[in-house]
Amino acid sequence: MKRVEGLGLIDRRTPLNFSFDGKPYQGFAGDTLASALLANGQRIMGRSFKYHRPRSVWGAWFDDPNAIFDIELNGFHEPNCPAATTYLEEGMQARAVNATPNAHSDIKGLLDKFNRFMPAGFYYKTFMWPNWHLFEGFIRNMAGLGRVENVAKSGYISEQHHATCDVLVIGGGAAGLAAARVAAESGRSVILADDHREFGGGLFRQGGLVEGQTPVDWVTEQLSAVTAAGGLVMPLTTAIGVYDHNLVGLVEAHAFGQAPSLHRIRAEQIIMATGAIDRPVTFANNDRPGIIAVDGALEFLARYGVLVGKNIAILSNNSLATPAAEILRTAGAKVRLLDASTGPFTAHGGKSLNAISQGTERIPCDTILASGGLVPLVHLWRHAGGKLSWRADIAAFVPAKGPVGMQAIGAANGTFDLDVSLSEARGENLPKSTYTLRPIQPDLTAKGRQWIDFQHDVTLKDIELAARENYTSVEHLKRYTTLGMASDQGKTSNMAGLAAMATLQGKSIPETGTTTFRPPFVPVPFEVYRGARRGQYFNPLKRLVLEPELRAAGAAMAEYGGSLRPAWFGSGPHEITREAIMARRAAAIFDASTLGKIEVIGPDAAAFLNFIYYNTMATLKPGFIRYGFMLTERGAVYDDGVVARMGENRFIISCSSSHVDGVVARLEAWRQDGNNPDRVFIHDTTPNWPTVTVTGPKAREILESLDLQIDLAPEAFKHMTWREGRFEGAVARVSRVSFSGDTSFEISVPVATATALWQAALAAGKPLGAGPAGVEALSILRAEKGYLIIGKDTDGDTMPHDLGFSIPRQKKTADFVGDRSLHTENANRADRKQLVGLMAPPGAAALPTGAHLVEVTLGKRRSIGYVTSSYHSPTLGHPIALALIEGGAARMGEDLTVWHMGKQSAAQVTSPCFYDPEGAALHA
Amino acid sequence: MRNDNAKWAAPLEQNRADVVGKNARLSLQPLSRQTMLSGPAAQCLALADQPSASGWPDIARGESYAIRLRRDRILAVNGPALTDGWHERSGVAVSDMTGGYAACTLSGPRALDILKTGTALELALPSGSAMQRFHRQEVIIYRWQAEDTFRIHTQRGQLESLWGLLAALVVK
Amino acid sequence: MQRFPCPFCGPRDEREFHFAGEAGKIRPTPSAAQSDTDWATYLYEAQNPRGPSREIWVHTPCQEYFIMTRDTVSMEVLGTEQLRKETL
Repeated sequence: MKRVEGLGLIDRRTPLNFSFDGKPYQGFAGDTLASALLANGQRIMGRSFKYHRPRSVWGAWFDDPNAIFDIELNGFHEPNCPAATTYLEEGMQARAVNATPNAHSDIKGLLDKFNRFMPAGFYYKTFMWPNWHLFEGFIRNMAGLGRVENVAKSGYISEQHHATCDVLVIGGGAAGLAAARVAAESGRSVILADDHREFGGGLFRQGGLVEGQTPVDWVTEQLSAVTAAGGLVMPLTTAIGVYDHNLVGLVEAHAFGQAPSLHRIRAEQIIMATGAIDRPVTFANNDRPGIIAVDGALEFLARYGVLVGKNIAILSNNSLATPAAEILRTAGAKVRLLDASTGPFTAHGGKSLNAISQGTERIPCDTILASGGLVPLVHLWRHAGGKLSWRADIAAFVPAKGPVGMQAIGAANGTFDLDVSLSEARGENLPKSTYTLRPIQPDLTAKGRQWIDFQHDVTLKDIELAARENYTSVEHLKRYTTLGMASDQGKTSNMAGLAAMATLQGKSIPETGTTTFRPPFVPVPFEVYRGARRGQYFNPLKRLVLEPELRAAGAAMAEYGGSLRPAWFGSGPHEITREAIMARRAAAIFDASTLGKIEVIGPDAAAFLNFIYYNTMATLKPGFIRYGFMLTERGAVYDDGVVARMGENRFIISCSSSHVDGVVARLEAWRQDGNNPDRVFIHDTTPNWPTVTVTGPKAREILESLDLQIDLAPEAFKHMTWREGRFEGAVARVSRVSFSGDTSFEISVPVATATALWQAALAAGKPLGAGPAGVEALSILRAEKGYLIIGKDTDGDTMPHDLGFSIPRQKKTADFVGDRSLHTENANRADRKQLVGLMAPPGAAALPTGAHLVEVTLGKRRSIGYVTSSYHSPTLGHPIALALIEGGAARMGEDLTVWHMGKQSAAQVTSPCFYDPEGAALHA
Repeated sequence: MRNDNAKWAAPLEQNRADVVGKNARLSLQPLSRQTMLSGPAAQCLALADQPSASGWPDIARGESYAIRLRRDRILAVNGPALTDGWHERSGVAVSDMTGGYAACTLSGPRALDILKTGTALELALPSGSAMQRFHRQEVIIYRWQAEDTFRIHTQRGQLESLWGLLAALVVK
Repeated sequence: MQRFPCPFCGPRDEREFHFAGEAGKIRPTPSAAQSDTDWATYLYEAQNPRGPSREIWVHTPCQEYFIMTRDTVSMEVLGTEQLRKETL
């Protein structure tokens, strides 16, 4: 292994220092880690996954399954880096994975000696008894490709971009460049992407002139023509997947340590010019370091100036072997050509090769270059749903019937001759192809282990075992043997594996079939998919206008149904009890801004709401408010809330905080699908009207000092009515509704006035012993009163009559959403779960939320319901709970058994309303 | 029951400083009135006293203008004061949204590229509505006065996350 | 990711759209007069055809409900119609 003067695209004036397994080396700018190591004579680059066999590179780019490194640079660490596609940077510290202490002398190399005890399916069969977990730690320690940090890398953020173009050309080899130029010069917007730093694809390794120019000059000319015509060229950019309607995901690599960018490009036309890779030859010991793909060796020479061996045997079945031999000889190697179709062959040597033998003939060599024929890279074609057909003459699957707007050209289309490729790319008449191949089959009788999947250590014997155990479908074969399941996703092993299974079954390869190709084409960091949507931006909460005020008042903010709201005020959760007592004795001041304020406007508004709601809304008079349920068409309660009638043609729905978006969507669906959309409109004004709620016996006193210009006397402003007043010159809508069971006023004002209102309410409340309270205290207050929270105290099957609201079901004559579903056999069952209260015996602790109520018959426990809400009531001085229980309404006073996490206790069924059942406080 | 004060940074001041990056600037955009009008498009425009409404990639001009949100809805910016509710004669529903939406301005040669990180937006791809999803967040995006000046409105409660996303992209 | 044509906004990414039911499924009225079977058919039975399918979709940013015919095998969009009877 050595550098050859004058060859390669590397910059020899810029040496770069790096280390591998602790030893220092030097390479050049433009090297990959793999090429730099080879140039230094360092062939062993890792150990195999299962047997820890020493391995070197097979391919020179993404077709290399073997050399996987852990890399550190400037404090940044990245596992699972393929050495063949990682460009060298100054100071890189690389380490082989699966190797302790290093790739050269791995202590687990002994595992290879036990290979016959570790066939395919070994894990499934072996680690069953007595328990998988006994082995898990040991196996997990062995598994994986490198070390994953458990701390997020700061600043490692992928940029994501959206773009469109007329033509996206994937692959910047000869065909891709020619096609991009034609498209760009015809006036179409073109994007040309290639995963290398330099465009040119296979042109460099093929040697010779291209249309009279050196490859470098020809490539430069094509690129200038593309850009001059307005095209965009994207180097270092890999197309990882083609998705529906011509959306292509492309990942653009940056310097090591910087997250790659994701480009989502929607193209009118996709031209796939992704090229082809060598299929490995299946022979004994074919995984030994120094056995390299023919194309790989030529790439190392042409791009990096590295000659991979001195004494080379080429084991090939196709016509590209002869020109390859010429190129290698010119570079100074001794080359011997062997016909791979004659077999069987055996490689000899351990960490270094010394010979290849066929029968009794032993041919000394230090390197074997193998090719079982070119395999077109059709992955993207299959992502998009394109079909494949088998071409026996080249023994490969090629693109057949294509997805709309997608075309394959060049080697990816099975066109391996340069002149034919160029004509194909330009849409000209095709010259005759010269590529020929002799079919090969694995020799089942040969001695020694023959590798199929290098990365996952799957051998021909494993395929035989799978076939013997009837895992003959390729999808079963893959999962049983893990063939193609490594991080290279079978790029190199797939064809050899199919050929092996076909041979074993006496079938052809097309009869055997292929496994599914799935994105991404190469491994990419998860980060690429995450982009800017991270942390607070992953699922951002809605923020309250009053948040600065709430924080200033000592609020502990927490997430409630998609909004950030105060849980309590003060030093800790113990404040919740204090707030609940304050609310009952004086008053509590809440931020209730998240409650829906959905306006329903238009001449059909009343009829529309009458249809949407379970309760009759058509008879609601302006100035009044009514409580109601919204049902699904299946009759289940979806939301509860209050509806205020503002005038003849205007209502405001105040739905649950977490349901605002859902309710708006439902209303809009019914409005447009089934109603006259010109006669009713839905405006979600929730964010326009912050709300401050004052609740408790001193609520009216507090409101009086706010000077709202409303008569607040109980007989003038009754429960379930609303009034429009003023606060500091702005409109103030005041609703007398309650979620606590005490006299309550909800005051909604414009955003600009909200802070002043909050401060005024706190100031007025302070001398009366009132103050701010959070969501948690309110939850206790509402449970004491038996007020339910949809989704907490109901489930997906709860109907309104299960909650004690049965009058509309019996009396409402107009159609409404869900009406018919309330009269089915299911809706009429006597054992439906109904909402009740539960009381624990005196002195007992609060029941656990989620605990089951059980019935025991003949020693068998059966759940008859569960606790939905449970609190210690500071006002009542004992625990209270709400529960959904089968036939609950008929069980008043019954003693039930509570079952929770193996523990049993007792509770008595009561009415769900524990506080002020007569409603004196509510109407006061 | 948790205290998530530290997880969610406190909202920034309303009179926050502009965020300036290479070829891009982000600033908060105070607007004195925003009004939502729903009904037949021509009637909405007449009521809002606007000659036309902008969709994408139209450039809204002047202090007072209208943005098309839906087939039958516009947002009048700095338009005339209108009573909330049903306007019988025009057949238009009106709601004040002055505080309901918050707006910011993103300007500069890089502004469109920044927007394209979170949405498949193209100048060559016109849209009747100015409603978009930016990094999955519902926003109104249109150009104002200039080719590279974009006004972005979002529901008030989502301003902080929109601002944070944009600010990070602007300073990049 | 598919791209759907909103009749008002033009082509937008699939993630902006929600499926809202098969087209032509009319709520039976008066609902109280429906048999259990008819009601169950309305609630639960879908054609779910393999091939061309007429469906109601909503473009969530502009809230336009419309009918889209698309091929459930090839994912090709075959056309859209407005849901509402007359245009404004």
